[in-house]
Amino acid sequence: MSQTYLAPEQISTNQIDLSGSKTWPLFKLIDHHIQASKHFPILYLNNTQYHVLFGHKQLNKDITTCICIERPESSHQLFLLFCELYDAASWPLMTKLSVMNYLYFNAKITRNILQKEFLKTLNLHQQGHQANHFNTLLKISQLPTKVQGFCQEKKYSLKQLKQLLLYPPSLLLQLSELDGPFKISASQFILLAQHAHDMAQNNRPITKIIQQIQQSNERPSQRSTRLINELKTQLTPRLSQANKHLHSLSATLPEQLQVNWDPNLEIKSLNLNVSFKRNEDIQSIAQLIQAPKTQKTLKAILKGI
Amino acid sequence: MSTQKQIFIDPSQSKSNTAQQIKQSCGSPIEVSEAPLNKDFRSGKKTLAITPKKGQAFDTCATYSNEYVCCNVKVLKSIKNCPFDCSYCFLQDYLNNSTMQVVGDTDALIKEIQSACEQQPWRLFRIGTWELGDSLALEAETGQAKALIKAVAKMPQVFLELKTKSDQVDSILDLDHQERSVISWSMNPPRIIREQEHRTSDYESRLLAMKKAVDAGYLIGLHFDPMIYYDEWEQDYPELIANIFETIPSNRVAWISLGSLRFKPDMKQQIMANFPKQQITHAEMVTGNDGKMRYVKPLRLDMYEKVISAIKAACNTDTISPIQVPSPNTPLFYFCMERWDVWEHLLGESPRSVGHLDHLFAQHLQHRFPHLVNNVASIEQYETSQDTPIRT
Ligand code: SF4
Repeated sequence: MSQTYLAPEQISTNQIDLSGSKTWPLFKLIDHHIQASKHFPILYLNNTQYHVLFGHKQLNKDITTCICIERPESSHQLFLLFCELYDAASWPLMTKLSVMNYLYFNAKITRNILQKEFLKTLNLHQQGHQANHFNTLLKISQLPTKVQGFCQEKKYSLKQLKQLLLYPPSLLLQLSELDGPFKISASQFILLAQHAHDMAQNNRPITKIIQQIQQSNERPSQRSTRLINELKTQLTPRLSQANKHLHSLSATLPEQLQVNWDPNLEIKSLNLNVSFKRNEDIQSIAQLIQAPKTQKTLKAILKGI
Repeated sequence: MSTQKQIFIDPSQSKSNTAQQIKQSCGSPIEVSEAPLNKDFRSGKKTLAITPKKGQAFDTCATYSNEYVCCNVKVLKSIKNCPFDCSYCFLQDYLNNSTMQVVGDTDALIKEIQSACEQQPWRLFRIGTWELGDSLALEAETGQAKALIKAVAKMPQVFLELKTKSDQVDSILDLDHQERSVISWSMNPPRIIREQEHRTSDYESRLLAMKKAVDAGYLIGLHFDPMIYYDEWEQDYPELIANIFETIPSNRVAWISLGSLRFKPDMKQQIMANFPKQQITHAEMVTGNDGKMRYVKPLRLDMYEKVISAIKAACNTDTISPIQVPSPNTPLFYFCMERWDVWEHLLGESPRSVGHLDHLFAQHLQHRFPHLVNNVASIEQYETSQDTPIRT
């Protein structure tokens, strides 16, 4: 970048030509961020007249110091300068991605220039296959607006955003619309997407399950936990069936004896919990365990694991 | 299999037999002192580097876990990455550098095998070159398997296992192998080969290659691993087994392994990203004690039961437990990375230890192929050997 920055200086506003100033579409994308921070307006000098490059809105505030530069010749340099001067590396991730999307699709900056010059400025560069990485970023920036808003709010990391790309955008949109009646955390959203996608691949619609839970009196956070558990159960029908059978067997044990097992049914082992209050109980519990009916039930449970 | 690849060679390997073979099959390779770094697992499959042997190549198969029965096979790390593109391949999430690498210095590999034999002259070694790739997929370019087959032909303690999903056997058919190399195929029904095992040889070609290997006097290994659940699995797997044993006689099959699809949970997303059309990750799975996702046990038991019945029928036997004295027609059967209770449920018994299963291999092979195995050391020796993982 061969850009000359002039030292910040006091410039009287009547020296500035505001006639052609309008909010740059790109500026709108980061407007909120800029408004919240103390960025200087950027000007350039043409003959004796200063023109606003970026940040004319800032002039309405009581900012008196401006940065004056030489106007870059190419549009991509202008954009790059904008990103540099407004500290693009610190923008929220979703904002950076929207900017990338704008630069590629609207400002028609080439993929090559974006990869080589912008990713670093936006602090989005990564080691490895650049073209793949760039495609991934673009895909994220094309997620439905509602989903992007959800991700922005939940402060998703790039790693988490990449995981979302594994699922159909329509599914993500459907799930993001649940936030409200359901209180969904960032990690729960990914888990939900995974389960809902697995359900769809197994031709099992989830709309009914969602409606049922939505009609309950539970708190939004309880609803999301229940939804995840319900989907998990439906995705493991054999496991659920087998566990149900084991629970029905264990319910027939005397109440002093309780058993539990690995619900994944991977570890073939049974834990037996006995509760007793007095020394005399020991003898009777031993008898209970040895009773043929108990033994038969315990063996049946172990066999079923 | 010889698709266009960029081939590199370490200068130290430029006079090796592998270099000669490469020159003949693909022209002169480019000399580089380090295998080019490839981060993308697919682009690495288009680059082949011939490297010197770095560090120890001879090792024990890395999948050992206390909860699962392991067969204690040894591995020779002579190949890294593979030109094929199986949707379930763990390499897509494993390699730091995805450039395919083949050790050019076969003499150094052979020396390591010899030294292992000298250190444990009492034991029988099964050694595979497939830990991080396919044993024969790059054979046309490198000739590595050929060199190893020739070398182990003179090693009475060794069975070399070359496991493949290719049909690349023509160049090894005429070798004087002395039956010390077992050519193994990882087999799945045609639909799985088509939909999941991309760029591998098709079903018919594998069967044909199997037949050629048998006709050339080789023993065969069969791996129904990973078994994959899909709509027609119940018809397709028994049909697959029947087809194989109509093509080759069971008395030439040294061993058969059975295992189901498994992968680390993180890999689920990798598979979904790399193979968006696949369906294999959506089945009913749980994470086991070794941290890998597998089909739930009731489903695995169902699937295994079907395959075992088909093997019994094809080999005309009532039992395929490796603990029983085998008939000449019964290959040694084992589960790969399965739980002890799965063995017991399906075979009525399980090896008591990893050393026990290793010993069963030696006994079995001696019983069926006495001309290939002289003495079998005691089970205690196998169980207490330093390189045998212990079941605690
Ligand atoms: S053949 Fe083996 S190593 Fe090659 S891609 Fe398939 S699973 Fe991976």
